[in-house]
Parts: sequence; structure tokens; C-alpha cells
Amino acid sequence: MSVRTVTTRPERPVSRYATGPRTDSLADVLERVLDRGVVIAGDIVVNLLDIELLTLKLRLVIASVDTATKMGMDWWTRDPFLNANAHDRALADENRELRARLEALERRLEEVVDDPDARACSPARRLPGGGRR
Amino acid sequence: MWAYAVVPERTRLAEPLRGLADAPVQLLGDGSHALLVSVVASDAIASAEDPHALAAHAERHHEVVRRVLDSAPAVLPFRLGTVLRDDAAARVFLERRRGSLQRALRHVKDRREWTVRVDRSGAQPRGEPTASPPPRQGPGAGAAYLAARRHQLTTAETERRERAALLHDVGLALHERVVDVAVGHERDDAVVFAEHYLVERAREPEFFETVDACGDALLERGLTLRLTGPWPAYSFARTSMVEEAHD
Repeated sequence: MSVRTVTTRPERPVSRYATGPRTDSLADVLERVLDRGVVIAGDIVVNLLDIELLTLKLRLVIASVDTATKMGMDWWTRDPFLNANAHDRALADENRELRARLEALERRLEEVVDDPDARACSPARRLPGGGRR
Repeated sequence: MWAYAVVPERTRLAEPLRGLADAPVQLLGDGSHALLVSVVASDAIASAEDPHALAAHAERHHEVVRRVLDSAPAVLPFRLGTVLRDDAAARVFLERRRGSLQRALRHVKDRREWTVRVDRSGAQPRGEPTASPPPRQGPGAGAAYLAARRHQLTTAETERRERAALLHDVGLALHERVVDVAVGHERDDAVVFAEHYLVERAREPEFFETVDACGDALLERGLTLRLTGPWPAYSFARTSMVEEAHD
């Protein structure tokens, strides 16, 4: 009797057209778990999720991603739903914008406090976007 | 009680698994089959009205099912959102559906799902013009343009028909290597072929050979074949086998 080495997952050759080891893209996974698999109905099941509605919502989002990618846009990299980093980036962007506006407002306020007639000055003196730091 | 899948009673998890909301995954059996479940708070599930949370739930649900595929010869995945009332309800389900669960599990035992998609993202095949013929000036230019355009369209039409014939042959060739077929529904217009296959694990090498041969033939026509998998048999967990609990 021959002795064989036992491995937990013997690696067999896969097709040349296989797309990577485990590239279960979100769209692929969502399509499967939302649309397929065993469905039970009846009094033993509690309906906490409106799967049909959510499936529809998600399909719309995914369809937009497909279209956008093809058109070379990448807005989805900044969409917090589709990209975990995007959430942080979106927050950071928002913070930056708010800070800039705050600074501009603070400067105007200083102006007005220092010189009550500053209000009468030409708005071109102070641009609302705030100067560069 | 969030349900992930049905597995044979003898299944043992190779490693402790964490499921939705990080709740532990447990096996609930009735002697014949076992349900993979997690006890989860209602509000943790209901929060999935938010698409972001839903995506996380979906990925976690899928991850559990995928991992169990390594420990069990047969896995019948549930659709996302199957929540059972309690232990008793789970047992009722297993008991009433014993027959159909047995059949359904047998159908997917030692078999895995693979998906084949073909899209038009490959290089332009030879002979298919990409741009309209440039208009020329002078007498006869109009007629020449129309003639060139007609030739272009005829060529395109021929290309289309030959492509369709090739795809048909690809389907036939693949069907011979598989146990079951489920047609894929694609939103993307560029995808000209999409099918899911249930393949015997022992027969995967032959299946891959055929996939490669088809892929090569398609490449010559500017079509790209993509194989994804292995998947738990979502497409072959026959929903029609499980009816309402009260019938």
C-alpha cells in the first residue's frame, strides 16, 4: 500500500480562465444571496427584512457602478456604501470644506468687529472661499 | 435565529465560526439534517434596511456558507434574510421538510457551482472595422461611401451570426461536463453568455479542460470567457422543494 501525504485542501489545477483565487466580488455575492438559495415562507419564519425591496435598491446601485466604470468615472470609490475608505474620505472632504468656510466666516466677523463700516466695502476685498493657508 | 444553510447531520465545523453581528454559528440538528444558525437580536437584522449594513450582512452570510463548504460534503444555502422564530420552529422545519431536504442535499452533494460568463471586452477580432469609412470628396464619393458602409454592416452581421453559433456550441460543450445548469440573468449588455453549472468535484478537471478550449475559441472572436467559483450551490438549492410550513 502506498503512503500518501494528506493535505487539508489538495490544490488541483484550475482553468486558465478562472478569475483569481477568491475574487468573490460584492456584486456577485449580492446577486447570489439575495436572489437564490432556499426560501422558506410560513409561520415559522419571521419577516424582518424586505428582501425584495432591498434587492431592487441594490441592483440599481450596482447597475450605476457598472455604467460609471465603463464610462471611466470612479464616483463609486467615494461612495461610502460601496467603499469603506470612501466613508472616511467623504468625512475628511466634508471637514476640510467646513473648516475653510468657517475660517472665511471668522475672518469676515473679525473685519466687521474691527471696522463696522467694513460691511460697506466692496465684496471683492474678501472672497467668500477663503484664502489659501 | 438567522439561518445560513442546511447541512447533513454528521457535519462538524472545522473551526468555530462567527456569523452575523459576530454571533457564533451553531448546528441545530434533528437526527437527519442540521441547520446552520446564529441567534441574533432583531434590531441587528432590521438595521439592514440601510444598504451599507445589508452588504455587510450579505458578505458575512456568504462567508459562513463558503467556509462550511470546506467542512461539509453538501451545503444547501438559504437566501439572505431567512429568520426562524426559535428552536422549536427550526425543528418543525427540519422535520416537515425531511424528504425534500434529503433530495435537495443529494443533488448538491460533492458538487460545486461554477459560473461561466462571456463578454465582449476582448480585442477586436480581425475583419471587423471599428470606425465608419471616411467620407471622400468628389464624384462617386457618395456611392462609394454607401457601398463601403453596406460592406461594413454585412461583415458585422456575419460576425454576429458566427459569434452566436459559437456561443451555442460553447453551451453544448459545457453542458456535457456538468450535472445541472442554471441560466444567469445579467444586467450588463456586454455579457453575451452567462450560465451557472453544478459540477461533480471528481469531474472538475474535464470541466476545466472544456472551459479552456471554449475560452481559447472565444478569444479568437474577440470574446472573453470568465470563470468564477467554486461557489456554494446557491443556484441549485431548489426553492420549489421547500414549501410553506403550513400546507
